[in-house]
Amino acid sequence: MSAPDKIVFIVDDDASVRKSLLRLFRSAGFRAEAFASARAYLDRAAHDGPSCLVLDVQMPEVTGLDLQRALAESGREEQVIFMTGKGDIPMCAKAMKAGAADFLPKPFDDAELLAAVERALVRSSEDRLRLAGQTEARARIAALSPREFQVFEGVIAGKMSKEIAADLGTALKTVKVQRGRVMEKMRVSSVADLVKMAQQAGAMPPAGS
Amino acid sequence: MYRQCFRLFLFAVCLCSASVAGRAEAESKRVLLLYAERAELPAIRAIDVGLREALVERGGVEVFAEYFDFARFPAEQHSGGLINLLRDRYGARKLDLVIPAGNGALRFALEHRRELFPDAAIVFCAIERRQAENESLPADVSGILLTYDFRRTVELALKLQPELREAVCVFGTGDFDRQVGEDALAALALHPELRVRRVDTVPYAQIIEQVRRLPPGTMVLYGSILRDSAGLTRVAADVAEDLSAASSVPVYGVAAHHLERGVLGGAMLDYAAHGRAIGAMVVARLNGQTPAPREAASNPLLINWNALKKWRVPASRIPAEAIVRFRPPSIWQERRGMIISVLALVVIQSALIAGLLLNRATRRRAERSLAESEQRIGLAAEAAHLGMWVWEVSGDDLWMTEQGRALFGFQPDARIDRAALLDRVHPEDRVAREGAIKRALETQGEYEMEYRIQSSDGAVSWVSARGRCLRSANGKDAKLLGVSMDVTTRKQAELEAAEQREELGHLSRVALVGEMATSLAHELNQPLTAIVTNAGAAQRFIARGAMEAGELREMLADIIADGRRAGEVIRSIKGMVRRVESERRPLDVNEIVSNVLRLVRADALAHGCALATELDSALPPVLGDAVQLQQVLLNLIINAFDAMRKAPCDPCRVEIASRSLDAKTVEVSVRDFGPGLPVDAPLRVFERFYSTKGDGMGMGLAIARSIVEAHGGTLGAENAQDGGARFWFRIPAQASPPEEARV
Repeated sequence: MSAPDKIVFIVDDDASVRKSLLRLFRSAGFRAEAFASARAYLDRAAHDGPSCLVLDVQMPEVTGLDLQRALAESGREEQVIFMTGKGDIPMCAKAMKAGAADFLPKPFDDAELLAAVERALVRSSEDRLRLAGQTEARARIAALSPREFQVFEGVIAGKMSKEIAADLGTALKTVKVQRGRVMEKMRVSSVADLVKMAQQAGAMPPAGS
Repeated sequence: MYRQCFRLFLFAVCLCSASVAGRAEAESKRVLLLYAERAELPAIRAIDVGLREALVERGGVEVFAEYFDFARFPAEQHSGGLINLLRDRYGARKLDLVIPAGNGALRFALEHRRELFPDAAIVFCAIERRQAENESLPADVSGILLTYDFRRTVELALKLQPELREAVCVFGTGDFDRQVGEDALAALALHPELRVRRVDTVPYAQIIEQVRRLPPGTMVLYGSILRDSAGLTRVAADVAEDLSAASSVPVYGVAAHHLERGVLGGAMLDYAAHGRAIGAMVVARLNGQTPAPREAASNPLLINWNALKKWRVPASRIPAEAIVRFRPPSIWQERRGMIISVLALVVIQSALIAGLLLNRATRRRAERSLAESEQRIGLAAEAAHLGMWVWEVSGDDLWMTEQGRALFGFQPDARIDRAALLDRVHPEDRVAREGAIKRALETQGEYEMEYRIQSSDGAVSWVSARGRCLRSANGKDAKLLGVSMDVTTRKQAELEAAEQREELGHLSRVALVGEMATSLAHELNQPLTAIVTNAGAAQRFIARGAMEAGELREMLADIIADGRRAGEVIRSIKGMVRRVESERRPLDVNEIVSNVLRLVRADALAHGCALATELDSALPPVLGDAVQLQQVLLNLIINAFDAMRKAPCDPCRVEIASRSLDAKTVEVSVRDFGPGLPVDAPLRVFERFYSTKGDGMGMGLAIARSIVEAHGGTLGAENAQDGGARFWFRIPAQASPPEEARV
């Protein structure tokens, strides 16, 4: 059903909850790994593949929210499904704002949890794809020469070649040659594709500049 | 022992020999009295009596006496016959001592001493001083010289009769009379204001007649008449009597024995005393001493009381040194013994009467105060609604005051015994009451208990009884006496207070649990989540046909365990919020800590607090109420959480520890790392309605404290050394150690 490289991580200080969750994910065909504390989880090397984290909010020392924050800070963006014994709204809002995938009050329906995990894993795959595209786009942008980058910036800003030449103070002919080289390096055939690539890389310049 | 006997024997021997020797010596003494005059003369008689008294007292003296009667038979006429007589009588007897009495006798003795009694010592007596001056006395002759003291006699007369103008001087014509008369006249001559009339030549009868008519201001001074003007021999003392009887004025004399014949008085020579003095001298002489001749002591001033009255001389004129004779003895002198006895009797009787009166008064007072005291006790008992009672154990008879009867619902005249009283006691309290009475009787100690009585209509009231067992001296008849009072009102108040206290405790526990509701929900949700998840997993395994039996068994076991776990949490909560009557049981304090930890674990998480425990595994059990003690601990822990929430904490930890301070006390402490107690009032936290929490009622610690104190313990707080506060409670360990510990 699912790709073998998908994995569900569980962090809960309650052993019996941990144990039951492992069983549940196994019964649903997921690969799962459980940790008794946030620290133990952080010690594990990041998984290369779609994954999600089923995290208990209330834990001694490092809480679920602390862990979420730590992951974000270290660039390990995870699909986090929070479990909480007490469904208090402020905490829930805080978690969601911080990018939580889901928030489940204990005790939850097993199907509900599994659905949330499915969703999170899909999102994780998408994230991974998006991340891969961005990396590629950024690599291509990084390959541009400074002058080419200036021309690239002008093109994605919707400027005509003549305008760009005026801005840069060079001949129109030179700009046209450089523009052709940018399209080639960025491996796009149209301005629309170039703009899309720029968006993927997250390098869209502020409008109007 | 033997030595002592020997000494006694020696002593006895010495005593015997001494007395034998003494007797032998005493028997050898012979004394001869030579009286110049005849024996019947009072002066001679007086001397003789005095002398013999002394000699008899010495003992061992053979006394011989010769009366020469020289006044009638002058010595020069028949001294030869006397010598022969004496030689015949005493020649063969060895005389040790001769006592010549009177001038003539002394002269005779000295003259014929050689031939009659050459070896005898001579002690003279009745020798007037002036006569002695005329004689030359050998050295070995001794005696006491006499004085007729007319001078002091006249002076006495002048004192008694200050109006004295004339003195009639009476003396006779005998040798002795004349000597005495001369002395008297010489003494009178010293007072020239006195006219002196001598009557020595006046016939005796006339003298008597003359003195009858003497005018006042006159005195009669009598010397001696042994021979009157007519040559008639007279007894001087008789003359004194005649004169005194006839005289209209006081008669004075110089011889003591004249006093009793009616003479008023004078400085008088006492022949008896003289005789005794000579006797003493003779005894000394016989015992080998040689006393020198000496004068008699001055003659005493003697006064005849009767004569004083007769001649109407005021007694106030009697000089201080005078001795009054014949004064009728006062009643005191005469009946002294009797008076003393009578007085003593009166005194004793008075004392007896006074004692009896006092006794009666005391008894009356005692009776009165007893009655008052009884009345007061009765009043006090009535006022205090005290029923007093005495139970005679052997007769099983119970006496009770009316108040007591009313209390138990007995008729005023009904007989009460143990069974009747027990019948009124509430059935549930009968055994305890009987036990208390039995103990009091056995130990002869105190009886104290509170129990219920139930009236016939079923109404229950509380009685507090206090008594004491008394046992009679023979130990047989024990009685129990004491008081009982109705304490229903107090008991009800106590019960209500206890109820209120329990209600308050309950409410505060409910509030506590309410405070922790979300945490407790989490605590419940954990096992529930595990159960649901396990069950879901099982369903999926089965749906996939991938359920292994071993795995299923394991899952079911986990489900059961989680279900139990959830049940325990619920039980803990129920235990806290349940309204239970306080009950004391032996408790393991660590178990209480564990129970509470289960409840607060979730809360600790919610507060981001770590819980650390340090429990002493060898705690003695305490006697207490588990729910209440859990409440106390819960309170302390939640307070610790709250303290940590208020300020950033490092570390965020609450430490719970149990330990035994000594074998008798168990301490449980909760230490936080919060801001600590306010320095200015660290213990205000225990006051009611004092809260440092914005949302606190301030009742938690106050209730906790009352719980701990009800367990006989203390609740305290202090700031810990490295910051934060440390709260603790200490409870006494169970008094008697468990059986195992004792063995």
